Amino acid sequence: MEYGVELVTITFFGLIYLTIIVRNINKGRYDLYDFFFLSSVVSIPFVFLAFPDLTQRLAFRLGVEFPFVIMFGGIFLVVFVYLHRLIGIINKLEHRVRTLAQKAAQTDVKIDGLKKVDEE
Amino acid sequence: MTVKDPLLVICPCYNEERSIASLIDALGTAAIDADITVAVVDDASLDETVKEARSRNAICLNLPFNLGIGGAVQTGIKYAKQEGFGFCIQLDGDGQHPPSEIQSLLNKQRSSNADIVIGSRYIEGNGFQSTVARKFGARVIARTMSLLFPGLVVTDPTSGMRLMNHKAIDLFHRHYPVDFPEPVSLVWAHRNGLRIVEVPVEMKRREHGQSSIVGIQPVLYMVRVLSYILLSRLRAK
Repeated sequence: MEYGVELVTITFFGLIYLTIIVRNINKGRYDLYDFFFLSSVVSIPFVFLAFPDLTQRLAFRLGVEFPFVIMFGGIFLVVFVYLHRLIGIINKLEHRVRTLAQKAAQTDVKIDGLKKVDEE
Repeated sequence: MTVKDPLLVICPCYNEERSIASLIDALGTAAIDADITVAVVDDASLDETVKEARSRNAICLNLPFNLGIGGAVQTGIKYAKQEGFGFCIQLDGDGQHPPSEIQSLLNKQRSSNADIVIGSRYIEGNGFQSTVARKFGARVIARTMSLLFPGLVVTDPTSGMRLMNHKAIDLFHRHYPVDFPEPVSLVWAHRNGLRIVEVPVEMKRREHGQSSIVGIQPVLYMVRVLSYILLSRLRAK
């Protein structure tokens, strides 16, 4: 099977995508962990296209007729793991933000109390 | 609890400018044999709730953004812990929970030494009973709770009127449910060995505004609460 055109296309768009990710890392929006997960959307298809024999053998071993099924399964697995990580982070952040808001309300009352003492 | 022990009355409010002043006034005149302090927890109201509460010299805990009833109540409990209150009572700011019933909860706590005393509107069936759908939902939730957590028997798991002692304050100032706090907090309390009892109270219809749970929502609410209760069965204490 010829993968020449597909490989070039994937490489082209993959490089653009990776550039965007790296720029966001430089701006502090993503960390290395995010880079690993987000780049797998490009790197997994690239590996499948760059090494067709390997992917065919893998598909045969797993009893799957079409290698791209494994490819999408791999991408889905990576995205799923990333989603779990994000959910954990969001829940932690939510708890912290809630605690911060509550602390702010309590501190406001303390400040009001001190102001009253000052006025007296 | 002894006579004249300090008791913090926690009033979580969201847009209750029309009922909060009269509630605070009623707390001032109610026959309660405890030294009460009123703390209004304003959940980022868009109206003049804070102004009305301040006009009655209540302590105002102003949340910078809306946290929901669970977050608001926990704020009050954290304040109780911070100021060293041995007891606190939750009274919703919409006027449904009459201050005159607080003494019943205090008496029950004194006689039973319970950690949490719930004011239940369904024991004697007096006063405002809520809609048929909600009453049915509360019954299903109560039955499920007693099935999943043997020993936890309540008739009004969604009641927001509850007296808590220092043990409950200790637990809830660290962990308090964000979603469906009334029934889920009872489950957490029970799992942590706290004693929960109920006392009949007469509640009033809310003075102003309307409930956010209308139409088919009570059914959806019930399903979601049951899911959370089931999840509580699975999680560690």
